[in-house]
Amino acid sequence: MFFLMLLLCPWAKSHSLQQRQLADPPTGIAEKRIRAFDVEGLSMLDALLRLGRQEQVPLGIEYLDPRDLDKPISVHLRGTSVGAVVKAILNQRAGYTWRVENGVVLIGHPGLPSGDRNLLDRLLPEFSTSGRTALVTATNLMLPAQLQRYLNPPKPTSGVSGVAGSVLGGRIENQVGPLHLRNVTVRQVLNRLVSEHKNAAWVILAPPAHLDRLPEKGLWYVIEYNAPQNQWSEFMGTLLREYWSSESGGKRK
Amino acid sequence: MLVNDLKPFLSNEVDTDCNSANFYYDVTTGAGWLSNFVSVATVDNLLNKGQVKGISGGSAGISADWTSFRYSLNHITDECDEIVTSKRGNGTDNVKPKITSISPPRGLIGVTTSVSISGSGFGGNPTVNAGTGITVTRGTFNDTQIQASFAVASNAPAGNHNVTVTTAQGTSNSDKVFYVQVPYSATFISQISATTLSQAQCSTLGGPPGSAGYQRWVTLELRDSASQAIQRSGVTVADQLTPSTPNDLGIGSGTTGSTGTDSAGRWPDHFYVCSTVCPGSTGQSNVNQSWTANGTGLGHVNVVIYKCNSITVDGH
Repeated sequence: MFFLMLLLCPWAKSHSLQQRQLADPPTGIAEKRIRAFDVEGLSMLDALLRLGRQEQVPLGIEYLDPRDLDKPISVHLRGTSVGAVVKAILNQRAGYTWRVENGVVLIGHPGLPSGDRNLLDRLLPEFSTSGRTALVTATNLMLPAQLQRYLNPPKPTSGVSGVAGSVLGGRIENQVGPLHLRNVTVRQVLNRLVSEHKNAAWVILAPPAHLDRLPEKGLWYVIEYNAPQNQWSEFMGTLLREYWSSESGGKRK
Repeated sequence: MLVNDLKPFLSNEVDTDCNSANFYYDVTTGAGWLSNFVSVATVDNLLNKGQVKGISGGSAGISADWTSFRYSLNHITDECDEIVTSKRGNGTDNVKPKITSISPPRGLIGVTTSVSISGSGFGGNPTVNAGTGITVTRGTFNDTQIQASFAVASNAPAGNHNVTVTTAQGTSNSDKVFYVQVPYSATFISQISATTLSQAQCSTLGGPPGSAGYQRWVTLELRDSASQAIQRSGVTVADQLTPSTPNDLGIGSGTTGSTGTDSAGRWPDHFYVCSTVCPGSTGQSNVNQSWTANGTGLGHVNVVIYKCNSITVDGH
């Protein structure tokens, strides 16, 4: 996706970025009324994404066991709410929890690590998109690159250097920013990005034990609600199994 | 070919005044035959054998590969051109099945594709065969269409697979094929946009201090070795970039990313480059972009040429 060669000059240039507070707004999103919600025979992920797309609810999925994608679920509710639908979906699988932060419905698990053992809790001194940019560029390239800068500060080197790469997927019309954020966690940045147009969800790919590292292929995947695909289980299942198969040992938290 | 279903209309006919060896049938055919009207039909030893042995005459006749038709019997005449009977009737002949088309005519290796088989003579209890490495599950069917799932094994032979339908009346033609597609390339389709990158932008992209560069959005398409698009949603495509020579922009080793194809087998790819020699340098860095689709490597590698003011993807 991207690659880096260290530089002749030290990384010393500071950017004077305008701070923008990430105040927790009174979302009330869980209480948002829904006239009808119907899914039949979808995976848990596709059911949640259907809710997000239908009601313009941004999602952050911090925990998703790939085995739970293989079992279809059905939900039919009338005169309900976003919170009730989320509950109805999650109740069909064991161990999932949910909460609302920054206007984003977050799906989690009681066993998720926190603090230093979870990069989502990592505090970034600053995060910037410079100007307007595509959502997928911000989530899949800028955020990992800027997180990596704090995890492993580049050392001064000599010679010509550069980065180049390719970011796959996304829709260029889904523009976000400009953003100049300070003292924000990675989770807050992801929430801010997917909630700008309320049209996306971020999904953690790694199992809970691996949330303390930034894999080469990325720690999260962002699904845009207006993408051509409307069913993601097959694709996400492939990705998740790849991440989970390496060291999770197939144990359910 | 015998048309036994005409028998109920003929069995009681007696030619009393012409002593005919042949009878002629005025038969109007329905959909599925080559013509809407056949003026005469020749019958040989009808009353003895109770069978129509052949139909000839008229502009259509019966072609050698006909498999089924619907007909209406209008009347029967003898060799003296006298109407033997005006008994009318309708019927359908169910004879050997015939496949006229398969849709879609191709599908990705290692996955299941829903297929619609069109033709005739499928009534009864048809079974479908699609050759080695394809497990067929038949769904709903009627006389002219069969819905089926073709589960193509990951080790199925690539290329054409002859498809046949078998009923109690026999096995169909086998000249219609289902093509098993093996992903081969991520082919450039079109440019979406392209702009230069300032130092501030490169900083947000993880570029080295003071670097600037270029970015370009393009659309790529997954294709097989016959350069046919693999039109399937949700195929996981992933790339890996490996710098080659020249490398005037100082590009280092690469990592991978992945996404899913849309229903046309396409996806956007956002290429970017930031280098300390940009802007201003006329140098270039050649990078090999290798691909996997659903975890299997593709045969074709894209050559991406990064410059300070352009990015070329496989010559485009």
